[in-house]
Amino acid sequence: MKKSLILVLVLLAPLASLMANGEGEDGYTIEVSGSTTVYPLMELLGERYSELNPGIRINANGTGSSDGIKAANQGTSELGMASRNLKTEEKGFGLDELAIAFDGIAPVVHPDNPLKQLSLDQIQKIYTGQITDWSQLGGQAGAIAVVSREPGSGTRGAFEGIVGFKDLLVAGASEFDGNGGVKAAVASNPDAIGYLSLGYLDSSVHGVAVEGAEATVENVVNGSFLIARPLLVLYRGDDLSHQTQTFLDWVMGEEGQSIAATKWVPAN
Amino acid sequence: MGRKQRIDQFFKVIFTVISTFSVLALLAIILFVFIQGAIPFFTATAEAVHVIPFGISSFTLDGDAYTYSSLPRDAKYVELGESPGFHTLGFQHQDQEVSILLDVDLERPLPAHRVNVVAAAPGVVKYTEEYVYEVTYPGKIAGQIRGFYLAIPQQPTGFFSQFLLDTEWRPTYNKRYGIFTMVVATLFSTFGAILVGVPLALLTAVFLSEFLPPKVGGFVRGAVDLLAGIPSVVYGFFGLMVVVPLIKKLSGAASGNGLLAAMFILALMMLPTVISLAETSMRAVPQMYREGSLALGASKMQTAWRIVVPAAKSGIFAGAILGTSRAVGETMAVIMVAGNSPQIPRVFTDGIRTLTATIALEMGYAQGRHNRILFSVGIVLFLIILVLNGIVLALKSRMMEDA
Repeated sequence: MKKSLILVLVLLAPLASLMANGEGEDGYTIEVSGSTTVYPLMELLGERYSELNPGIRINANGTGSSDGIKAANQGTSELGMASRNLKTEEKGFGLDELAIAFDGIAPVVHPDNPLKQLSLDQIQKIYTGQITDWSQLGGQAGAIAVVSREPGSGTRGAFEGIVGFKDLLVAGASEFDGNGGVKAAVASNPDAIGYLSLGYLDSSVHGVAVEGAEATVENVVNGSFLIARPLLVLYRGDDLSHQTQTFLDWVMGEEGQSIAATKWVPAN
Repeated sequence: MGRKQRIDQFFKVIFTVISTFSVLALLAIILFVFIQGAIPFFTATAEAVHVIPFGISSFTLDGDAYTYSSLPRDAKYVELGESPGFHTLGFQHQDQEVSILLDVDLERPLPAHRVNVVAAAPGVVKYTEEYVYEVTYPGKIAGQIRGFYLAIPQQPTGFFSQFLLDTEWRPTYNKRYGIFTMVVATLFSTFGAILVGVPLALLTAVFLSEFLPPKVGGFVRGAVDLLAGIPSVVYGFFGLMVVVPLIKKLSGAASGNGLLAAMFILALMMLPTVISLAETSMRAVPQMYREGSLALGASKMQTAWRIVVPAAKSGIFAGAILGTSRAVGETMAVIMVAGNSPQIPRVFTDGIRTLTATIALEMGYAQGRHNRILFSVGIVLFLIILVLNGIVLALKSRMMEDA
């Protein structure tokens, strides 16, 4: 009897602490879901905001742009994240859009690859299958392993739209799940080329300059780096709680935008 | 009625209710998937052309005035009448009345011809993607664009011509939903895994049950059972970090992600299931079969292959079925190693996309018809598993008759 009582208590303890954490006096959780590209930024923003306002928790999930738009439309998340412009059918949902930052998309190769820069035309030819060998780009002979994102991905949509090959990806290109999947694939294959959001660039891959401009925040701001798109937050204006409205105001304010400026391009 | 019977009665009612509910819930899930998956083949995405304004707060359509805010909150569009004919769309642009003439006939064969837009200058008309027109006007603030989207309804997708036997999977702009490449890839990778995995598993099982001393055998058996419990993502990670680079190195292909890697990982993943079942059923073969065979002068090897394996046939088959089902349904590990290119593989290093991988990759991104088509892919997967199991069961019953 005593033993089972202790067991029950042990099992209940985490539950109790969970309840204590979650719902305080003015406790409020803002559910955010959507684009894996906006996700790291939302994480940073949420962390800082919760430090400033201990009662508010920002629960962000990286589930993909379309999912974020769907979630905001159906109300399963208060805020949706998207890294592409809304599609026709989605425009019909009547959601409010807020660009919280801008982001560049950088072509990336393996760190051992000597490739320094590409033109938009060359990128287009690589991704549509007209350039298939590194020797055609002045490198060592070897077939190019083209790495892309899954259809419907915001990063892919923006990349294809800006480079100019909407839905014309060469057959045989690998498609990976999320920015992380592309990074892992490129980091482990010296013959691969992929593309990543600026926020995901690190030393495991090597960013390639486009039309002579390095993939940096400054170059996206001054417009010389051409592959850029807005990072959107979507919501229903009439349903927004005042806590969430305050959070969005803070995001668009000085401190929020200075966080956005660390790896992305601030909207203001 | 005694106390015991009342308790029995009580539990009987509870069990009946619970089991009825779970059966109903299962049926409801299957029904939901089937209905969602069947919709694209029977209905158009909408009954009429949708006019979706953006950056325009008030406009007129055929003389009726609309304001953006008065449209329903989750349906910010106006439907054009179903009957073919001309419609006029009007709005205020830079203090000027603009009217756009639309010539609509949904019976025209090409989607691009179903709506003709005559835009007043300085509007720009673009056919941005299949079934979508965009009519834009530069806004008062430079760079701010306003205009209308015209979404043309997509007619029902042909089940064979545009889905099952079509080889083009370009679901976003081109609205092509051909899954033939994925069906082929699923079958190739599964059969490849069976060809590699089942013989290996059978050899291992024979070795474990017939040739290893019982103590060592028990230890190895435990290890094999442990392998069956490893999450698939771990196998996938192993494949991504070890198998894929190895295949790239050995074959010299641009990427090691592909059919071969998927086959290898799937074979590896079905091993524990097949070994475990085959070995259990071999150990269940009565000892006197072996003793009789040995007494007649057969060697240990002959006894194992000629006596024990045939006697344990049904268990071996059960293991193979379970292993196959695991291979067909496996998602995570395959996504990580297969490359996910929707194409028919010509060589073993070509990237492939399986049916499950498609659903998992695109579920978060799909919307509209694309989303429903993913349910249809689920139905196809369901049917493939049914057919596979049917074939195996038929084979099994035939072998039982022969024995």
